[in-house]
Amino acid sequence: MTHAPADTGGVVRLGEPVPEFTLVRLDGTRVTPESLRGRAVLLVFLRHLH
Amino acid sequence: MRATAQNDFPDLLQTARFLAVSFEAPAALRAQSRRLHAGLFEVCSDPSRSTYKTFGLPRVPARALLGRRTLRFYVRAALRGRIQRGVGSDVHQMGGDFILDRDGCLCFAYRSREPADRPDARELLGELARWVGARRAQS
Repeated sequence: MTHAPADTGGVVRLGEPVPEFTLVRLDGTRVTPESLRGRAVLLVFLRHLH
Repeated sequence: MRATAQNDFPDLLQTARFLAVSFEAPAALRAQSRRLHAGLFEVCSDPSRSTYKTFGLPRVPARALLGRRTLRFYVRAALRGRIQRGVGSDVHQMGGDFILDRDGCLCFAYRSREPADRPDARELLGELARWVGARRAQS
């Protein structure tokens, strides 16, 4: 699979822990990096909805 | 993507988590939760886009949206009935796909450079399976 060029320009870097962030699920509960630990995670950042 | 995961990587649904992040408001996401594969993904809203920034996902200038590949992408989407109410709230915001390992470290990153630039779902799941050690189904 082709990776985006060299992971440059981003805050998160390959091989490093992700910095703190907070996401909100549709039921209002929160997701943090701490809450994701213990299982691998696929994070898909969407573009706009049509 | 759920069908691909179930068919090709049956262990993945138990061994990994799937999060879909959108900058759209929660109400808009609820209205389209079926399309967003909400049964597979934990759908999250990030209206401030702070997480997009954390993961290095930019808004691109208009000229990045005018390439032949992008125009073909939107024409195809329109012909398939996927564009019903215009092209959306912010066509400039790019998406991306990331895999975090069990310890919360980033182990895979794919940042889209244009709207049509997305990884193939099967390849993406294969990458995830590689990181969690999930088996691939026998074909």
